[in-house]
Amino acid sequence: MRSLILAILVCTAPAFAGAYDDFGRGIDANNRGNPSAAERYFTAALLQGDLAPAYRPMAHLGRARAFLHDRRCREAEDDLSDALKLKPDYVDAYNLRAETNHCLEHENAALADATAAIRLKPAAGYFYTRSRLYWHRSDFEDAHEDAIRALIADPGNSYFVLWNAVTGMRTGQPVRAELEAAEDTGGWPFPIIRLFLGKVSAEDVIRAADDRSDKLCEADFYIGQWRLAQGRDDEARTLFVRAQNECPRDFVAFEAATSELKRLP
Amino acid sequence: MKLWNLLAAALFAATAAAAPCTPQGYFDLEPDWYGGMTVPANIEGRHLALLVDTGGVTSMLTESTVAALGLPRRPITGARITLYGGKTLREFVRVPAIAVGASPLRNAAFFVMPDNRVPYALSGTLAPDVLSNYDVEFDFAKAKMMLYPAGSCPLEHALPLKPDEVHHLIANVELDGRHIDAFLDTGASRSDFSLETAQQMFGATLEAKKPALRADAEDGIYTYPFQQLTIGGIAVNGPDLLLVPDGIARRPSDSPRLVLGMNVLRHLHLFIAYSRGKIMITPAQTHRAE
Repeated sequence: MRSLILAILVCTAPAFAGAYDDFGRGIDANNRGNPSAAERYFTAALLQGDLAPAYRPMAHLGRARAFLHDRRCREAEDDLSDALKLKPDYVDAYNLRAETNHCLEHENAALADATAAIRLKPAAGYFYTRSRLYWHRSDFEDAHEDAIRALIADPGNSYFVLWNAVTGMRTGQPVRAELEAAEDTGGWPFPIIRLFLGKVSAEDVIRAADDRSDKLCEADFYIGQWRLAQGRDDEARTLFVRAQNECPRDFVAFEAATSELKRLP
Repeated sequence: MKLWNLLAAALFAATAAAAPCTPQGYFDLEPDWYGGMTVPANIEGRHLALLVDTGGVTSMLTESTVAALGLPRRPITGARITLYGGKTLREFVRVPAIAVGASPLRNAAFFVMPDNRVPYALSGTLAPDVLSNYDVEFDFAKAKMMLYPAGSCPLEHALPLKPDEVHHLIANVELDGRHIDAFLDTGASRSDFSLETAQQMFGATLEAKKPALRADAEDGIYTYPFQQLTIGGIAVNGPDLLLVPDGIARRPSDSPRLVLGMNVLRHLHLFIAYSRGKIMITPAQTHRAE
């Protein structure tokens, strides 16, 4: 059945496009946030058979990104395993397969893949992934340790500052110094950092989101965390439900809000 | 004695001039998360992936790579290096030995860059301070980069590059019938164009079609459906150019307002003759020998 679907997809690919052209279009589609086009182009690139061997792992990974965006977790996992067969030290494939295994609720496999990525390249982004996996398992101490590692490795990433604050608030660790050290560029998500510092209100953060759904969903999740830290669980629950409804499914805030709703009584 | 020296010099020059047009280095390129091209490197037994960055000045290593290698940092003096977006670099390291492909570099200087300026899988960049010692061929369709002895290969229908002291690739291109200098930057996954310059050049047309805000980019960045970009006689239809206000891009004032990144360059096959200030451009799916 899957072969038939793939064959149909190939027929809908643009005429005269070689595998390399389709591969490039797949990358551009993912970069532009168009997963259905990315899936179509990477599928065409892989099926044509003349794609340079160096591009095949990336074609599988790119298609897995597209599948995961649409929560097609099993198909994403197949592609990532294929990518790793072709390139066993492919750190991004391990990292994305960790996310994919979480999507499949294979939490131990997710943690193993995230750890494999860190062994290959102990970089901030991979610590951030593993921190979130610990968080989903309610292992807040380990989540905070990895959040600290991510922030130390990449102090300029404002989302790492926020995540460090979220995990720190949950474990009762001080996070104010890191929040104050964040370089305020004035743009998003700094209004949330200012909220955590007590400098602005939740309403100010919502206003700063400027009616953009991607920002509103993040605002809801982080304000929910802020409310949770204040013991205002009912308000937090409402905000997490809203984040779950508003956020694109491949957003960190979607997954994290989902975990919180499972935990809240 | 002087005669012998002269003869030796002449012989050396003749040998150098006759260096064959065969690659000294032959690299498998691998794409990163966003479609940038990387080459494998090795420092003290550690395997690293470096982004091939024709838009850089000096090759760089990320903060965490420098920390993992335990390399002592030194302050940068006598140069001001600013990254896209305005971030200034302040430190560099010396790497005793680094193997890039089969080519060893000794005591090379690498600037220290923040981790988040390249995808996390990467450890740094390879920039024109290294690349410009060679003639460089990018066969993107076959995922290959070749380094040739400088000046060893014949050039046909080559496009002149604007003189640039840091060996940036600046060539004149045609965008929807208007000529403009463009910066060819393999280190950029996307292409961008100064919003203000676009308004000056295409004022009425741009006004009529109204650039749209790009949902997949930072706040304040627009898009516009340009029809065609032509470079060295090769046309790229519907080039995807982001219109970025100068206040966001914070480009140096003397830098071209149009940057062509990998989403456009991927369509081309490039042979860069750094020492002669020229570039040969053909469609991606052709090869120099053909």
